[in-house]
Amino acid sequence: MQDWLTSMFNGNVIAFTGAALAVILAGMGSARGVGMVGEAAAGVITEDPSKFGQTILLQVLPGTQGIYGLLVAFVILNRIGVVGGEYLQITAVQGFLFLAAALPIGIVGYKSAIAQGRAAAAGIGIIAKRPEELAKGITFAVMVETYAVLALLASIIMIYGIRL
Amino acid sequence: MLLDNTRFAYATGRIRVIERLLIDRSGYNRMIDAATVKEAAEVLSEAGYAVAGGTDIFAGKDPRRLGDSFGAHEIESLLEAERRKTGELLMEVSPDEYIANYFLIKNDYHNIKVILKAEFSGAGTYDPAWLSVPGVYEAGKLAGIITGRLYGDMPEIMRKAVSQALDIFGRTGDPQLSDIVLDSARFAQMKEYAAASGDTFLSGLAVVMIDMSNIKSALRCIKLGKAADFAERVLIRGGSMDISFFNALRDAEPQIIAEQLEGTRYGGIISGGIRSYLDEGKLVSLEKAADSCIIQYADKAKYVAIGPEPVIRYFVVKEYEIMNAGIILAGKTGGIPGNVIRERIRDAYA
Repeated sequence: MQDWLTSMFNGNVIAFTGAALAVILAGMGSARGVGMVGEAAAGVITEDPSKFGQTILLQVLPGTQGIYGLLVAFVILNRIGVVGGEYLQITAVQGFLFLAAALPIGIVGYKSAIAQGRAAAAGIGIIAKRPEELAKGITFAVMVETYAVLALLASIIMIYGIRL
Repeated sequence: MLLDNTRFAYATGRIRVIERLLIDRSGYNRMIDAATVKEAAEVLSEAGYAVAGGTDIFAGKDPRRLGDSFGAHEIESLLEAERRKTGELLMEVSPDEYIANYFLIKNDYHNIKVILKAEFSGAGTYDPAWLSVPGVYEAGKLAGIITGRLYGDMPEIMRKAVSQALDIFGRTGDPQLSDIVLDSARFAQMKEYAAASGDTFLSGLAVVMIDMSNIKSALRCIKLGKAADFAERVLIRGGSMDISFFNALRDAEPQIIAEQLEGTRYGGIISGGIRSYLDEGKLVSLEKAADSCIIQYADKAKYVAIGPEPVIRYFVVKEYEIMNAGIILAGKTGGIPGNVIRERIRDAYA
């Protein structure tokens, strides 16, 4: 039992948990967002297959949060030497700092991907009725991206701010 | 139970494309101003009538390919084909059976009336063309259940209504009274489906539809001087206005009745129709005003990006579009002037 508790509070385990959360949460959000837009796009394509090219542009937008989550995980793993460099044994406090640093992109990534999916699905409605206004539909969805980018930035700054 | 509106992403996307074909004010004007019935029906062809999945499901009857003869039979066939296509689309796109059932159950109750009337008349048979499809239940199965009195597969509300309709006819010999029971059950079942769907927008629509039915029934009873028990029977429970509200109006002066109804949440929209009916006996105005209330409620979904609301709105508007098409084509066939037809048609899709 004690061994188990000790390993739970091992710095590297906590940092790995942070990296995993960044990928899992942001990835889940992106999967939901992309799936939602895909469903809406499939509805449009059933009636008008010529709109495939336009709808796919909107469908990819909520996928970026998943990429940001992977990027943050990669940076964490890079800093503790799992990816390139020398594998470091870090303290529990350092591990918790990595976990905290992963939270912005994990949580904001999850929520913003779903919100962006909704905005992009609404954009699919614009394409269905006024295909010439595609750019406006994309703009509405892209606005949500701002907050995912800010969260990514916060996570990266925090990760590089941790002294090892 | 709350509805996950993202489940309607596919349906919403599909409806957004299809609703471009809905006929707007200018489309109705073109139909009304057309020189011939055939020319008016061509507007319907442009709106996708008689065509499904790129193929002509109305072989040989597409108005664009018809000769000058476009009579009542062709009109009814064209509209029935569109009703059927709309019902099938609803079943196909709705991820929630309750929402599809909400709209389709009307056809089942119509079919029950046809089956019962055949029984009441002693003929025992009916023309299958009188049935409305698709319904929640397959019409043949429904006939088997009713004639065999095997109500096991029927929902509770429908089962009770059929038994009651048979009982009332047995006692009174009046099929109109049986119809009243079935109409009331239809609304009760629609309300039940709306509640089961967990969608508050659909539940709200059910309430508005019940209110409109009650306002029309109550005013008609007052105007025709029907007995209190008859009026009580035609009013449907489950609306936003209690039955006692209508009972209190029974002996009131027309001016008071109008003022009371104008004080309800529908006042602004229905006011003109009520006064027109009470003062001039124009039932068409009352029905049009009541339908405007339903359309305006559905129009609240106009800017909803994703969810059941745009789907529900489409099917409400489509129902009125088919109704308008029938009014215009029948009006033109009967030589009714354009301005009279214009007065009769319901609000256009916008």
